[in-house]
Amino acid sequence: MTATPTRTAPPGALSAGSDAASRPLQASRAERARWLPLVPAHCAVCGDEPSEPAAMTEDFELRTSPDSFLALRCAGCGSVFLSLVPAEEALGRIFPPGYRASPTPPWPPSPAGSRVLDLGPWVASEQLRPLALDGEYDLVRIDLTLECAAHPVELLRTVRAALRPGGRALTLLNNLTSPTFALFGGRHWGGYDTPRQQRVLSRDGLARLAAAASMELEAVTALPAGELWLRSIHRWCSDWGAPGWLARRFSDHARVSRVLFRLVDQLFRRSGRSALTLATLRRPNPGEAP
Amino acid sequence: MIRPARPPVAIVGGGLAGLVAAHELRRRGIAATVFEAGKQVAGLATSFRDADGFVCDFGAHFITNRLAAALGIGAQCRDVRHYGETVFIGGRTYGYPVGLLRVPRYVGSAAMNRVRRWRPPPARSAEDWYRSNYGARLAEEIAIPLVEAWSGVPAVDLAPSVIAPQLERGTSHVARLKLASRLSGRAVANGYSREKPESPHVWHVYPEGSLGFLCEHLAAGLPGAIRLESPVEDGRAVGVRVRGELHEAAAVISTAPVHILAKLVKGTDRLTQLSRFRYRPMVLVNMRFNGRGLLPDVVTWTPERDLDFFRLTEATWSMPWLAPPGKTTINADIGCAVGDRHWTMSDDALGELCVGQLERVVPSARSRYLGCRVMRTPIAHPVFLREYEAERQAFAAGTGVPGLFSIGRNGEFAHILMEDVYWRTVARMRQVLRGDWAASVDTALPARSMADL
Repeated sequence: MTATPTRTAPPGALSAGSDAASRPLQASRAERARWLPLVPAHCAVCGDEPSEPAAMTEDFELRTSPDSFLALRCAGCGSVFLSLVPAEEALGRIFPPGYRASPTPPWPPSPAGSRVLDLGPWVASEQLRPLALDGEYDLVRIDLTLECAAHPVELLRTVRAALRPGGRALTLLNNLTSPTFALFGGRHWGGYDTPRQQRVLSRDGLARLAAAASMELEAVTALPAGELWLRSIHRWCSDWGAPGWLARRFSDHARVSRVLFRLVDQLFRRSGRSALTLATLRRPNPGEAP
Repeated sequence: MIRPARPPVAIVGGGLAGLVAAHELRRRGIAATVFEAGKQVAGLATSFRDADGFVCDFGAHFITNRLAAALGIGAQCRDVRHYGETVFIGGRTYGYPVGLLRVPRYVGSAAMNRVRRWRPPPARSAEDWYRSNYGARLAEEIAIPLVEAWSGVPAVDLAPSVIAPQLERGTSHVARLKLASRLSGRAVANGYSREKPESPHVWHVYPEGSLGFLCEHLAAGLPGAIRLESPVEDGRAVGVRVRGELHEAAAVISTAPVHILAKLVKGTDRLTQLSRFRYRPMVLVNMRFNGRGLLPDVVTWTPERDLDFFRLTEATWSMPWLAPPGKTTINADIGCAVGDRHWTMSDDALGELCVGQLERVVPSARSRYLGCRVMRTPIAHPVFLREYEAERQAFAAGTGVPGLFSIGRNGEFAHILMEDVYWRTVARMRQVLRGDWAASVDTALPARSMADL
């Protein structure tokens, strides 16, 4: 996931929840209508492998639904995925109109003259089919898409078709080996953007996904991201009813905190455990084994 | 894998375990039919709603947000803000467990015991375990009377495995969860999840309306797969007989109590030993009162032997919506035997009995009393007798009959709570899907039984 704070609603949209005692016994019809239709899901990489509970999450910022979600960790590849995901008819609701990538994710500069295709956020492979993508591109930058797609292998195959032989695809992953995940992964981790993102891929999961799409995982580079720290702490503060002044210290607009946590995250870069990773996938040349 | 050409898997019982099993199979493309003897699903997870605004479960139930999310009903549940337990003894109330640590005679006895036996030998019985871990005073005054009232047999006859795993957790773990509960303002589950790790992010919730919603929701997702009023007359691994008609089945999954399962299954004597397994019957007296917060906390344990009940629960501490404003319910749990004095007593007499004894804890109980609803169950929970502990442990690995699976709290003969039922059923369904039934036979039976086969 590449959920930098600027790509979802500001933390000010957090709601403190309603008082249980004052609510009516039965939810109103309007409230019922707000519940998302949910369908079961498996690990998109390993299928129906055994898994263990990893987190209890919800849509902390946008509050597009009152549902809570169980995230499971796949025993096969270590990726984290939601046990139930919104049905297709609910996608328009969980991706509100304002949900878009802005500003540009921290992509490295692309070589001069190269043809670059930006995908995402949230692009379904069906939407790509009508486009002429046969081997035209040197670089495809996939933003917030592998995490949201119902069929990421299919999506990656489409990306492969778009690339020339030897071409590369970049994607940003929230890092499951980072201290932010270790500290906040049970619920408040900024790397979760539930329910829009159905999974957080591990490095092994991405490698397997790439192999299934006849691509190779060429490199994974750690990128420091103070925003993930801020978002995690802000969620924790808001969810546990911390005073507003404290929560504001960790909002997107808290520049000092952001700089401070970027420095903190920088410390983990060398060991590959900073909050974000940049993964490079490559389409093998003809005759080259993927 | 089960071939598609096979008949549906037959599931005996439409409680939480049976319905989860059906969902797990159907989501993987395996047809399953649920045969429920009663007129409605839910089993012991059912709820009663009275015209006067009281909602009453079959005993007080708590579920976790993790179970709710796994079932897809997180949005239909409310957070429970508070959960706590106390012990009432000698006319005083002590918070559990921290309050008991302030009583010098309990702490002194436990400390002396630890000094004398730093590394106690493995416990042979529940009584041994309590004495070794708690010291003589706490064991004799509280733990042993409670486990005996709960199980109906002397603690010396109970296997140590009766001890709930949460009692073996470290105090730092318990303190961490209690602190999380205090800070988050939610009733963090503490000792309610035995299959999966507890965490500050797993707390109690309760479905809108009543607990029965859990199974109603699951049943709604199984159109055409549930047959009500269909008592199973006998079960073979090849099918089940319902009202004289044989329904072929690829596998049979039972949630029936194991001593009943032993009688249902024909054509094999592998389950004969299960007929010795015992369940504790219980009478649950749900009393209604004017007022709120009458008990010192949600649950009050009453180990004094002259009291007929051993546990009192005022669920409105946690779920205020279960009673009309200004009113409350107190549930009294009475362990009994089918046909004994408590079992046969009229509802009014049971209410009078409980209110009279409740006055020790709540002096104004009689003046506030509004009446009661009484529920009786012959299978409240399994009794872990030492005399069949080896067989019980073997049964936990499998039924020993290819194609026959026994799941759920009663079907597994296990002290498991609602979320545990879910996780264990999910895991057991993987075994069904693998179709490795022969493997389960090899590990399922004790050696002496295998020799008899």
